[in-house]
Amino acid sequence: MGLGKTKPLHLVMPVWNRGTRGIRGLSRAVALEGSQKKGRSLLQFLADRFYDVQALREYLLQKQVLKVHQKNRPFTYIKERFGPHAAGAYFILKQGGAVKFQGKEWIRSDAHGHFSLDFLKFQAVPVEAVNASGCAINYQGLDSLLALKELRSLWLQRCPHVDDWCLGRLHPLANSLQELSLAGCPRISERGLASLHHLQNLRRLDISDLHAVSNPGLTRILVEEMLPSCQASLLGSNSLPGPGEVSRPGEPHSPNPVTSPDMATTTSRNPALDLSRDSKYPYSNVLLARFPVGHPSAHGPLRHPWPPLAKRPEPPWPPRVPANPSATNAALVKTGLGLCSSFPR
Amino acid sequence: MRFSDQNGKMSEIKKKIQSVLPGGAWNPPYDTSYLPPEHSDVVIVGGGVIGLSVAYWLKRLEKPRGAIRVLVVERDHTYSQASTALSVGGIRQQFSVPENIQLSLFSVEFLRNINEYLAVVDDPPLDIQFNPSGYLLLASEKGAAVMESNVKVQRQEGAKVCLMSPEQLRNKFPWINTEGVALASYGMEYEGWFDPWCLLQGLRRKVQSMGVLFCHGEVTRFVSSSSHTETTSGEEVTLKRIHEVHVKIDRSLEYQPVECALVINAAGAWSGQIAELAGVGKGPPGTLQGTKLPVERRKRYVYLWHCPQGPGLETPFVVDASGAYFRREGLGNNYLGGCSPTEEEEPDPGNLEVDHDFFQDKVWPPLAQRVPAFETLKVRSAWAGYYDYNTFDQNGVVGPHPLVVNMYFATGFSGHGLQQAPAVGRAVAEMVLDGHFQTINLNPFHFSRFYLGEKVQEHNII
Repeated sequence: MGLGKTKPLHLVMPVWNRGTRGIRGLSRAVALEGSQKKGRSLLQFLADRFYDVQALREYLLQKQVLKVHQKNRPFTYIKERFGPHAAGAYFILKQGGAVKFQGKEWIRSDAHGHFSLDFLKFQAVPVEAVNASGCAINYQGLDSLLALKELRSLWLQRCPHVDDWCLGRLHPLANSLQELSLAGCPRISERGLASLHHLQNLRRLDISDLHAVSNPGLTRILVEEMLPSCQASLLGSNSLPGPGEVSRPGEPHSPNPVTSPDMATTTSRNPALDLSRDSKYPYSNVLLARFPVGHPSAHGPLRHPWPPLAKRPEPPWPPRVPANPSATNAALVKTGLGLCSSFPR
Repeated sequence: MRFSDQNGKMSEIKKKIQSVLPGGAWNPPYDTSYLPPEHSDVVIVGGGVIGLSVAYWLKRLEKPRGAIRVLVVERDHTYSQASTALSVGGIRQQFSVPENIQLSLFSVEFLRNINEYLAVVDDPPLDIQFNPSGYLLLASEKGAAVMESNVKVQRQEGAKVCLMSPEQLRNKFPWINTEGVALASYGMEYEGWFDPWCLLQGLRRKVQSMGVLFCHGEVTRFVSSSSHTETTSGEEVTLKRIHEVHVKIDRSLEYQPVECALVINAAGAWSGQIAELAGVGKGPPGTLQGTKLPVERRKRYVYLWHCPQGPGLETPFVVDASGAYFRREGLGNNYLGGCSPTEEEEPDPGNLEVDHDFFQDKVWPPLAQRVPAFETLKVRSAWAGYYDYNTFDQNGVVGPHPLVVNMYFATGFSGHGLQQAPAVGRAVAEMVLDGHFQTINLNPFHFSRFYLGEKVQEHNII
């Protein structure tokens, strides 16, 4: 299209010139203002190379996907050498989660992603609880978790890649799993929850904040009918207190606002509930960041809590008609354009 | 001055004449964008899930990129009679033939990673609404031994299926009446049902972004040439090669001859007619020339009913020993179900009208006997769709025809085409591009088995 090259402005001649064919030829003759030229030329440059830009974007998307796959690779060497429990623990720690062995304390990696390898010495000690909240675990990564045959609690809160297919895979843990938390996972829907009926020993199930579930209340009732001895909760308040916690865990999705005093004390002390971890979600997955499945807080790092169930503030518009509208205002008020009762007269 | 003007005009006229003559770039004065191109490397007859899957894998496996021009000819863009859109959408690995199990496993992996396979830049990801609830097949005393051997084969291939006794069934699903049930097989993972329309639209979108051309028309004629050769035993064989496909535009008499190198018959319930057009089966019966493609359309009914006290969220896709089946639909106690009629009761496939008496007589009694809660139910709606029924052995036909050398089949799946579509697409694409199957060996599904009489009988047909 020839933009970006300076051409003198000659409008009249080229219109009748043989060189221009129809309307498209006119723009060839017109030069742009200097101030707009720079911006336009970059855009023109990119537009001329549309398929290259498209290929670059596809490549970047592929890289993101490969990154997630790389995080979920199986650690076969550790599994053979140290046993499935150690391999599962290593996997979770590498992802940034926390692990609790039977009779020991919670182990978690620090802010730089380093963790001690002492747990490799516990060869026969089974893993009792896993907190993989916010981790990029996907279907492949569950391989490592399913080998932990004596797992009692599993927290998969806010995991962006855990979806219905992963839930269908949890049945090998049926003998031991007693507590499962799926709060805030954006890809889980009621169809995946239907496959949880294999987990007959489940006592506590947290299904709050699932945006892909169309009918949370009805789903909770159906899940409780399906698993009679299990208590399904929608408010996120029934999860076991994490390690070292004093009060009820103030998860960001609870009705309490984020700045409650519980949070302030537990943030630094309680590595299992470290809020800075939340910033990993939802941007670790490019697809999800661009297309949040109905998720409201793709705009900010910390998810805002649910609005309290109390009465909502009244909207300022349309304005309330004052009790005694003055005569001059009467007509305006009727059409809704009149003054609010609080407006000074 | 005048001289130079006339020379200019003459050169214009000369240019126009040159472009009309063959070899020039002809720009016709009217819009012909509804017509298919005049040349295409591959013409896929049928734009359902199998045809689109073949187009996708052809474009994905071709080397170099953009090497093959693919044209998909679909008669009905609303898919009003297509089996894909009217399907119940189940996917299972509980088959008796190992190839079927492998096809289904590959397809379910494809569906799990559908957003990696079918991602289009700037379009939202697909949600095929997969319910991982599994299939529950029930067997009576007669069929228990067959079911056990089937489950052994399935487990060998890698399907996660377990056998259950009647007591275990009663514990797990208290709403089942286990009278008459000797054994049950239950798929724990990778089985369930999904939304076939979403898969179809996802494939269509991706395939269009990869550069496959679509044509809204009907294939009315194949122009082919024959050549005679002798086999090793001295018999004379006539080999046919299709050169042109005449595509008639919808609601018009206009047709466009498309010159092509290959034709893929993925026309589903109408594959038999397409095969006849190509000359398959024109010969004395009992010979290879005279072997027709034994795929015909069979009508099947699906009913949607509401039962307030029915089974809950954990309900799998239950298939009774009598052949009646049902599955949960949504959260509101609605269920979809039906039954395949026996050979004598086959309804007339001329139209898609629903016979409600069939539900009363053949579907409801066995289901009500199996699930006592279904004694009170109310039918909400019903529809009918076609099976591309393979009358020979109810399994698909995949691969080239031995005599019509450039026609490939991907049809005849008799009710389990949707769940095998991604894998079959890949198999056909490998056959076309490499000449042999690479991921899954579908040589047992070759056309020649109809002539040789080797049945690959599938026992678990629903």
